[in-house]
Amino acid sequence: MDWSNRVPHMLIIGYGNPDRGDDGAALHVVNRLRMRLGQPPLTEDDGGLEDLGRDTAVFVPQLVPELAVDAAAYESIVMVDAHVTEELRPVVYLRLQPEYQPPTLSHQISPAMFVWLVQAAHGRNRAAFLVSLRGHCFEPQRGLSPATAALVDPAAEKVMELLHA
Amino acid sequence: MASQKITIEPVTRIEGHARITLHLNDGGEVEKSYLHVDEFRGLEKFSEGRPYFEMTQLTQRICGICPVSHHLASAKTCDVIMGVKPPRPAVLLRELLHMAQFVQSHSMHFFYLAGPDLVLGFDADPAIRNVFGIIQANPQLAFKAVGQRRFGQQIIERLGGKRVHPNFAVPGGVNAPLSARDRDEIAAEIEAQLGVAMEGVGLLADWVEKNRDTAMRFASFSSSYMGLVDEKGGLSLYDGQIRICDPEGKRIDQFKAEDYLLHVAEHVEPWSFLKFPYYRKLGWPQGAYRVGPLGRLNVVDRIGTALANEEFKRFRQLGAGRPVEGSLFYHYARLIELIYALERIEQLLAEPDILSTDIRAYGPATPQERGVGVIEAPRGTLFHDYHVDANGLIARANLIVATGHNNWAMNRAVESVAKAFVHGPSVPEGMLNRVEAAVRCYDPCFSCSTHALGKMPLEVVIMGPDGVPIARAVR
Repeated sequence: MDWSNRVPHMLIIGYGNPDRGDDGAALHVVNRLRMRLGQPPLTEDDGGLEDLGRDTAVFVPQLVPELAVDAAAYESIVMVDAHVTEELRPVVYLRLQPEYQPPTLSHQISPAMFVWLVQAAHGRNRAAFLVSLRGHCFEPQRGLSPATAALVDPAAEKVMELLHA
Repeated sequence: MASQKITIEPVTRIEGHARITLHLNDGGEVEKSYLHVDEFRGLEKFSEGRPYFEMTQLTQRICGICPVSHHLASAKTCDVIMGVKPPRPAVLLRELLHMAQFVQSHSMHFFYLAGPDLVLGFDADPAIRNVFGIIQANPQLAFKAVGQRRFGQQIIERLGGKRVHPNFAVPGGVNAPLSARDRDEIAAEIEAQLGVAMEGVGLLADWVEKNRDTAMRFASFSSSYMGLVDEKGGLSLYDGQIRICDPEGKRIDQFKAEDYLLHVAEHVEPWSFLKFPYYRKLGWPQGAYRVGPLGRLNVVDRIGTALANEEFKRFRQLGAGRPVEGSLFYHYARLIELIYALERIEQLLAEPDILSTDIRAYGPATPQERGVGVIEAPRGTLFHDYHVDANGLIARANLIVATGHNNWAMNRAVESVAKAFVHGPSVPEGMLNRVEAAVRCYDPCFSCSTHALGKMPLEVVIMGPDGVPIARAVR
């Protein structure tokens, strides 16, 4: 992909643990998006961080400070995660504002804190969104529950809407 | 008789978890202290029956911070079992991976974990006394540090496909060469990263200047030291012989890795999963030693890169002819090693062989019965020792990790600081953090070091003034 003369547009960051069932739902969403963006799918050994392009979907186990340096180069950021709260809709879409929320561990950063880090790294705010799909099973196992698997396409569609907005 | 007990749990900003118990006497002074390690991972046991060549991948799962150390120590062990010597380009590439890990690990420790105590103060609000607090206080420096860790992680990713748990070293060598493009892109960043490391040295030097008494006295005690040295007695992180120096800095032994059991024994205490290695000839506890940055820089004669060696000379002046004993100087030694790792990366990238595709040796089908590998992990000397059966399946594994080597020293450091700073049952949080800071000097990774079976201290007992338990918690 030749994007060297264009400003990086959107970084899509899926995160979670594929070894904990639906916690890895974002990997499936990311790979759906990569297919639609004409990018090869990610494997567990390749989070996509070595091949960042103009519009890129990556997958990481956690949000960490180092990732904020990568994200700061983009005009907008979309984070994709799974949620457990039954009260929320199956696919949640939120616009995020930077918020200083110091975590207990350096590798457990909330999406709002991550946006705060991106802002701190670059000096100005970035458009940031969270797309989350409901997880049903977070036990140690591979693969998604049928109910969560059915939400992968709607979640990917929501990200595509943001991409083309 | 101890009459009151204070428990600090968990110790923050170390990798893994630990529990410190302080026993106060009737006068409210610290009488005894224990740094408990309650985790158990059992890696040695569940690797039994696995093919030896899987160990490079299995053992690095012990840790998410220094997986490269286990990966490479295991590969070196497997080289021996396979009966092969990796080609020179493979050795260079392994060392490049190793140096990248030193950069990311040492940088993270200083700027993320230890730095907050120095930059923001021991008594700063715990809510901000972390890397995010540094970002608020000094975003320019903080993001340089974040970028430095990212630099190390990216080298690991370039070589091994992933920033954590890379797939690179294999028995007999490595599985992929380095491209010219990757070499050039890494090399282009070295100078800037050396600048960040030197900023760290400046920050620490400034703190020491303003807090000289604390720096010299904080958790300062006598011990022996252990670390790898090259054939000239210089700092060596990938390979070499193991040197032990006594508390006066005199070399008392130097031996090959495969002979480690002749020299190192392990003591077990019932209150911790973590064993206590010691130098066998001196016995327990006289033979207790320290490893890691302070240990290494107290045993080596020189460092083989220019900037690091100049800083090393200043470091050794602190001891005035004797070893540097203060635990806070672990941070100084760590920064010197960070400079060395960056300079060493530059040296390695300049080697013509670094781009060679001659990266793997193949050996006979029948494995050797035993292999021992040693490497200097960021936190200290790391031994892997495997026995295999005729089919190459692991029959027995023994891993001695850096945090284990430093177990006695961490307990000693906690006791030293606790006795100096903790008086009575009501202790300000900042004081407790000084106790934790003593542990953090050693950059412990308890999840690494508790793979060996011990006795599980699952009980917390609160003792009243009369020595009678008044509360008990079981977990």
